[in-house]
Amino acid sequence: MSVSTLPADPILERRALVQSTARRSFARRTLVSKVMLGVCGVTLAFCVAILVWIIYLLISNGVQWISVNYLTQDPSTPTVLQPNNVGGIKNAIVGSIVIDGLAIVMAVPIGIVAGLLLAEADNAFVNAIRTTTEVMTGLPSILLGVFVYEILVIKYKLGFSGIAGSVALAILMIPIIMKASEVAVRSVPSSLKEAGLSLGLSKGRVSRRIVVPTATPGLLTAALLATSRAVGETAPLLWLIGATYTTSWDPFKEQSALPISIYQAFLNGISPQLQQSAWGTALVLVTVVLFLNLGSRLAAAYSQRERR
Amino acid sequence: MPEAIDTVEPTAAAAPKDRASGARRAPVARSDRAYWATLYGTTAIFVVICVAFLVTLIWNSVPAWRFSGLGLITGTKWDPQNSSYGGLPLIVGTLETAAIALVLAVPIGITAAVSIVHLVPSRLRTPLSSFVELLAAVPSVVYGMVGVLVMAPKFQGDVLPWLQHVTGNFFLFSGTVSGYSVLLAGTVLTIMVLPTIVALSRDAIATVPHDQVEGALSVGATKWQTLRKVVVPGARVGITGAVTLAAARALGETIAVAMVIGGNVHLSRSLAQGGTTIAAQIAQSFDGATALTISNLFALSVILIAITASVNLLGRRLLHRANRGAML
Amino acid sequence: MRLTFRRAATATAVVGATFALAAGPAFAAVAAHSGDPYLPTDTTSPAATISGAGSSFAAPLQNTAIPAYSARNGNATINAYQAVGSGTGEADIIKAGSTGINWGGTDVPMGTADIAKNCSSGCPAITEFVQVPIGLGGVGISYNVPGVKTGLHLNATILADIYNGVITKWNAPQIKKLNPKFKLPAANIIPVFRSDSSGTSYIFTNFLQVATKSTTSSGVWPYAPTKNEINTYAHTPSYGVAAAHNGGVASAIANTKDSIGYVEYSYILLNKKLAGSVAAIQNGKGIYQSPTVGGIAADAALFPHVNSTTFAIVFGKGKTAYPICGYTWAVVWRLQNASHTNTANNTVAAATGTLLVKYLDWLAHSGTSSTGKAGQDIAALDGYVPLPKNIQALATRTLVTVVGSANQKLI
Repeated sequence: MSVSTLPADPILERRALVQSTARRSFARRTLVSKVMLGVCGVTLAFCVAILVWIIYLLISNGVQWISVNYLTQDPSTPTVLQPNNVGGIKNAIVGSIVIDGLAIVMAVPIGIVAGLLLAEADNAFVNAIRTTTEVMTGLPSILLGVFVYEILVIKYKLGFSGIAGSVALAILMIPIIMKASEVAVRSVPSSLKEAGLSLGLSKGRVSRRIVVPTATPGLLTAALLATSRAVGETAPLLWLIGATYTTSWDPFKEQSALPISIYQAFLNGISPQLQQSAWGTALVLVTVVLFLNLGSRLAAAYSQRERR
Repeated sequence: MPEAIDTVEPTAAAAPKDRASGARRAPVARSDRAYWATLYGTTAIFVVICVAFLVTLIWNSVPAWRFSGLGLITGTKWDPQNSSYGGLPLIVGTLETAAIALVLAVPIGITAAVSIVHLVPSRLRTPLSSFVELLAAVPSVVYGMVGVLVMAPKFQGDVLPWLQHVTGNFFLFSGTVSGYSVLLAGTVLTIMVLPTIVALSRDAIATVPHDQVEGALSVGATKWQTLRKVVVPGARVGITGAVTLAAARALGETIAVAMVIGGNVHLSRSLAQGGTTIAAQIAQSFDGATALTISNLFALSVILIAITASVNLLGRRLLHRANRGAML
Repeated sequence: MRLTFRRAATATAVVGATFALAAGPAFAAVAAHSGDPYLPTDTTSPAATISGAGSSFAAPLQNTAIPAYSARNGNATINAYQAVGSGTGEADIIKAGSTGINWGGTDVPMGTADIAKNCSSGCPAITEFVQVPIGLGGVGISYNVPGVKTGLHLNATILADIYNGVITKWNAPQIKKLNPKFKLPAANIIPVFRSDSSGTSYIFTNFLQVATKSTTSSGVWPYAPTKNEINTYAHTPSYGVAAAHNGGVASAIANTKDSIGYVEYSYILLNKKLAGSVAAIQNGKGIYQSPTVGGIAADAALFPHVNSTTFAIVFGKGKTAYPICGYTWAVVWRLQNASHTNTANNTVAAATGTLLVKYLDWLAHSGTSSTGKAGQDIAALDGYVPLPKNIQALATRTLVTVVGSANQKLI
């Protein structure tokens, strides 16, 4: 861009130079912009395509397994004489219902109340808890399984049982619920709270009567989100629930769960048929999890509409 | 982009009826004390669990530290049979898989987030981003299945040989390949962390003030320049947070990685060969491991927690700093 | 040489056919007596629940036997067997007071060192346990090489070199020399091995050591066999694949081109992909044998004196013997009281103990025409070899020593 000779009219020369540079630069920049925007579009399409691909894999491999018998029978193991005899996944469905249900019962109250504290109080203790929560959500979930195994199964002689799995899942869910419900509670307008307080209501009453009802959709989102995460977890349950083939509604007995059943059929799968049937279980599990997830989204959308 | 933001519009839908029911007055101080006691008491349960968790982990890892010392971090030979516990291959594998996942997922995720906010017609915005976020809901065991049954054979047959071919057998991709590899694990993790990055970056990008965007456009910047120079830097707070959370998830993911990484404890220079991570090694060899091996796995878990915790805290700190910067 | 092979193959076929023929009437007998329990006392076994965990080598056997036994004894609730590997089986039974596991499955009987490794204080003595042989099986070597059919000849030295990373190509001269009829590709060999504690690994590596005449310090395979961690692990090359449990290894072989791996024989029978490519292994007489029920039985017959301290039966010097075989065992507390069973009191413990010994007794025996099908007949369905009569007797001798809290006999 160096100009070697002194121009006759420096200002005009310069303007021309600037304009031509700008024109060229504009053409180039427009091109780059178009290309890069295209790239952005492609990456988004790629993200969408991955989910479509996974759902396609699940349906194309899994749908042939889904039948009334598959959902209502216990698994039976294939033998050399009957290699196609894989049975159903009733044990895993029942186990998942019991284990996840108990985990919800344990985690939701603790998670919401603790989330309330995070939102309402601000001191060193609460900050420490918030940090702990952050760390706990990023924790490898398998460690929770190992922890519950060491403490409940071995030390306190609980044995392999559904309830041990529930405890591990509850520990996993609490920090998720805490974080999400903190957000939900914080999003309750402070004018509402102040109105309550100014009427002489106690803090607890304001929370119970104003904050929690207002934040309910958000809290529901929190609970559903945590549940959808917990339902799909395999690692924390690996050494806790006994992974039995027989259906049991008793959480103090050995139970199974859907993700465990997939992992078992897949890795301990003796025959290719059993391994393939894991696609069927995966289809059931993903359907459940996606519905829970969509439910939490609907709750969130509802809460936003409420506020508007 | 108002509908994409979690905005708080102060309206009072629930207030009037509560006001009526709250007319009865309780002795404020005592009731307040009970209220806080409930809050702190319940939270204490969680705190006790966390403390018990950490104590159990650390307590159980003491024999390992006594036995292996620093060799647990620096040793290269993980051979429990001969009581040799060098954790470096596991630590390296953990960092490698997470790094691959971030290298692939960060550019894809951020550009996808930018498209959602600024390129896609507003009607499609919510459905599209929900759709991408559903990727996060797919259980990791399902990703593991897809990884082993569908992706591993492709990696062995096509992807890895092609990589070796185009890179001239560069050491990172060389060697005999089985499909099960650090690269495959990294790729599966990429898919798993993408929704986190997309969702959180999208939220952050949507909060960049519209006048800044229009300002940039009005001085002649192209749309791409605006996105690159104004929008993404303006959203760096949230994007950093997104990447931090994604990193934490990638570092700790267990089942999917254990299924596809090949469980090989050698410290291999090639990413195309098998490896292992701390979490995956626990899943693969906790069964039947001796007390000392379990202790060493615990000790490595402590390291893993230290890594995830510091990533998390570093991210938070950055967020904090950036937040202050953004407010000025 | 080749003549010998053919004769061996014929012999194997004959033995196999004999077994098949013998199995026919046995099943007919089963059909006729399907309502009968194996022992008359079984119907009186008190209502109880038991569970077992351990060796995945024994999993197909347990998976078939448990429902069959439950169908005969209405009072019995036997939870599904957890195929978690031999090492965990031992750990779970040592900690039975917590885990509630009633028997641990292992392919290598437990020793004092195994207790020490799983226990830090107040550890039980090895004499507090009894170990019952419940199954006999082989470890098959299967491979997944496109274009290479079943029956590839391999010997211990080649296998050791493959797992040591010395032989890396399928068309290596050592393999070619043994297999002139095969068209072997120039592909890289990918060995698959166990990532968890495994009795199958023990049997396989014990075979490698014995058959290559290696010691722990010299030879082609200079490593002591042990189940406690993955024996082959640190020695294997960086391109090997580690997988958990027999099932994991089986699926890794089935999913990975150019791989080779070792799995319990019934996993091969159940998995068509593996069954389509099984190696014939050189036995103690120098003859190459594919795994068959007859070959495994022939090998076991060469080792009549088996107990919980002398148990290795690999590399038998018999013409028809398949060289990689082993018994699988159930480990049980000798004293069935509340603290060894995680039950409410000694009465419940005695009930579970009674069910346990009766189930294991049924499992370790062949049925007669009057009792109907028993555990070992079911084992035959899954590719296990019925336990020799002397071993069945050993099982009973061992089980009668299991007692309740008041020293009362349970069987």
